[in-house]
Amino acid sequence: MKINFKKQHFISAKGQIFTIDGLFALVFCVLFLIIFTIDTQSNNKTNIELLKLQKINDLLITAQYLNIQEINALEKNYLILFPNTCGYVKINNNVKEINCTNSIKKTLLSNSIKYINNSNHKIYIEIGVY
Amino acid sequence: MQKAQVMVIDLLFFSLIVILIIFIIINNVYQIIIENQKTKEDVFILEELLFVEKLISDSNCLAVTETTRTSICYKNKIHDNISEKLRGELLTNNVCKIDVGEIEIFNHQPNKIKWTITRGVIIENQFQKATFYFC
Repeated sequence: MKINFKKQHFISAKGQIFTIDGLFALVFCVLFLIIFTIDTQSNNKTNIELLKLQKINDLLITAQYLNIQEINALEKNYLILFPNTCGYVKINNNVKEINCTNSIKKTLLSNSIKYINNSNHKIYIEIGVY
Repeated sequence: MQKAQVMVIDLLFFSLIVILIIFIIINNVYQIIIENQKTKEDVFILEELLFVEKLISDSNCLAVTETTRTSICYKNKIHDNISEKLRGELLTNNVCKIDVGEIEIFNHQPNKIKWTITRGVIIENQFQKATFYFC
């Protein structure tokens, strides 16, 4: 009687076992998909940011050497190095945004330089790139 | 019949677990290999970035040492003379072409250009874009 009861119980639970098995299979499939779709982007981002910073420094150093005091001249140089990248240039209190219409500002990379020009005026230049 | 069913389910479950474990091991090994390759590529790109930095800031490369100030060379102020020593160094580092503004200051069969690095330099007291082509 006992065995029969167990058998009957197994038979009634057979569907459940298959359901559990199916669930395991589904979990396995999901794991398979998740692991294969993990974003495998390289650390290239760091190198790109380094290049951007190098360009910003180029603009700052050359601006000091060429004694640039007008924001339009700095903007012109900025556009030579960053023709499509959103950013800003600042000389003392004048700020100008470049290429920023309809662009999303994410990470900002910026650097600044302060020096005394030939006329003994303090010049502060800041350049930022998004 | 029921025993057989239990055995089949057991076998299925067991094989599922085995496959899962094998998959995890293979996947981990595969990811380690890919990571290594990416790290190598990133280091390679970093080396190229630093080589270009050296070109425009080292007095023995393109950076100008002004005659009025001996032994001081200006970073980013460059001249267009490529010495034989520098030529060899450029070829070793896979640089096949250098353009400064509209002027081409170095050209060595740029067949397959891999990528370019753009920097800002001063040449003849003017701000120009220097483009270094890597092959």
